[in-house]
Amino acid sequence: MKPAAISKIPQKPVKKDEGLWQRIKKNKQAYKYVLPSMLLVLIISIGPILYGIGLSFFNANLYTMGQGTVKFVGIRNYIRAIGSLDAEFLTVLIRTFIWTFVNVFFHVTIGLVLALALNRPKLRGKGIYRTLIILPWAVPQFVTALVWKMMYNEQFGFFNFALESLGLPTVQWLSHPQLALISAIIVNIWLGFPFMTMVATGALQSIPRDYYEAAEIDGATYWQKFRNVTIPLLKPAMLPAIILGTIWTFTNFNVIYLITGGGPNKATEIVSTYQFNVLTQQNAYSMAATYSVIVSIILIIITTLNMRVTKALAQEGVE
Amino acid sequence: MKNKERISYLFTHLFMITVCAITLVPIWWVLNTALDSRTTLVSTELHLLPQNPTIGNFAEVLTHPKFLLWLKNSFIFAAGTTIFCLTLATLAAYAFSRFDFPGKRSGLASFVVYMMLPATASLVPQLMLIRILGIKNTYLSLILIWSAANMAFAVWNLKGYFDTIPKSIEEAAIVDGATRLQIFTLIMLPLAKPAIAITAIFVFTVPWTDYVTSYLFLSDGTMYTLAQGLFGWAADFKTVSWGVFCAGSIIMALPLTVIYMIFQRYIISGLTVGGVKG
Repeated sequence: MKPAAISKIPQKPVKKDEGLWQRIKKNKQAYKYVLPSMLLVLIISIGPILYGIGLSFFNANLYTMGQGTVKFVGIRNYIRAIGSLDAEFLTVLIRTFIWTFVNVFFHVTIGLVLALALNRPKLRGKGIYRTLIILPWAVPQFVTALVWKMMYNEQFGFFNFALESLGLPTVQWLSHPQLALISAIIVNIWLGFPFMTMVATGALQSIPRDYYEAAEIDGATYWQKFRNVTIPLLKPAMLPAIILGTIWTFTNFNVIYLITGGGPNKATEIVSTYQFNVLTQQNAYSMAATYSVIVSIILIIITTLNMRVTKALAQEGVE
Repeated sequence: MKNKERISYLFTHLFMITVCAITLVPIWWVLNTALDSRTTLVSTELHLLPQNPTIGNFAEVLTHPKFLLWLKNSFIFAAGTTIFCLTLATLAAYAFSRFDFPGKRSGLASFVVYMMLPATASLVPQLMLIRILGIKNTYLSLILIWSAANMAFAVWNLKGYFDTIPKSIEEAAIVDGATRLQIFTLIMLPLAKPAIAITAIFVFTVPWTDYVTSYLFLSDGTMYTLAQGLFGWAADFKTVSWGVFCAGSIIMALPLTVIYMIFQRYIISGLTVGGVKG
């Protein structure tokens, strides 16, 4: 779980009469505190990342590295990745977008519906419902993904077993190309809706009851209250969560990899698993790095767009 | 309550019960399988509750030499990463929050840029680096990698919290003649405990559940983590029964699940507010 980006950097007034060198000397301690973490990140992460970006302009793979024939190829890898419409990566990319959209849509919809139900003033047993609903979120994703994989097992898994005992035909959960993707989406919806429920519940609780009472006095219907009071006041809390959810889903690895492995026949491959398989099965180091760069450019675009929208909405709220 | 209202609440209850029931199916299945005493490797019958409940599977897992080894390795990796990453991150976060030094803004910004870089492009070069440093298949190698991967998040999260602690507390200490290091260790750290705890939970989760990194970097079977081990078991239920696998999964999941349930509110706000606003 890696939260996405960050917006503002606080700015403190700088005293102009002080020289730069003096300020550096005065703050010697600060550099000592900051340096270890900076160095670690620089050596262990940023260095290798830059090297990896560089690698995407070469033709490095297990074979060329063994032969000593690694050479600069310019943007050939990028052209191979997205240059032609029938490129495998492009299919994977489109599938990833569909995967992300469907998942986030259901996360938010289910989350909202449940939060609204849980927010009914006279509902008893809210605490129990909430706890039970949150459970899928609290269990580590790695474990649940493996458990779902076993439940989907076509010979012995729970689902086919249950279907059989009901006298229904069994389903090819993981061996049918389209069904396998749907199966993985079901798991990811199950994993993701609790987070949205929690965020939405928190946001709903912060809406003062007075607003609804005022709307009722004006004769607003349930739907009108929902559209004109609930939704606008939910937006500021929900949008950051939706951005995070989008990034998590787009880059999700565990669900697809642990359940389908990208199969059958690459039918459920999304960018993160595809990259991993290219790296580990084909040992195509440069291609894997190229995909990685493309994916992070896409993520930067998504994040920036989202932040713009969020900012615009936040300002709208102020006025 | 009016009749109409009562019926509408009845439907809400029915709805919530249905949702909860569907939600709980996988969790019920794991518990059921783990507690069931059966002789076959996979389930052949379906019961709502285990027929002859037993903790035999747990006993088997907890005496399984490999499982214990994975558990130990995972714990060393996760605890090591948490301690190392948080030590460096709190120091940096404190400096970013309390000093006004040249390069502060670009330093903070560099962490943001770092988060946007294509992290997965680093895997192959990191493998090469680990080999050059001669630390392949050691605890240190992955502790360094996981710490670096989580550093930006940890620094920003902690800095955000330090910013909310009023400066007047420190100023009083400075008047009393305390040094910066004393202020940091004796005043700021205790005050920041909640934020440090939440950040620690996040950081701990990563090595504990990461499969890719340990798969790529660890080739020595004695260094394998729980994630690798259980992945192997899930793929091969002919030698390891589902009951044993499920018991192992529960042992791996339970500590984190309990912690996440207890701290849910703080974790959610840490993710959305702390993460986005800094």
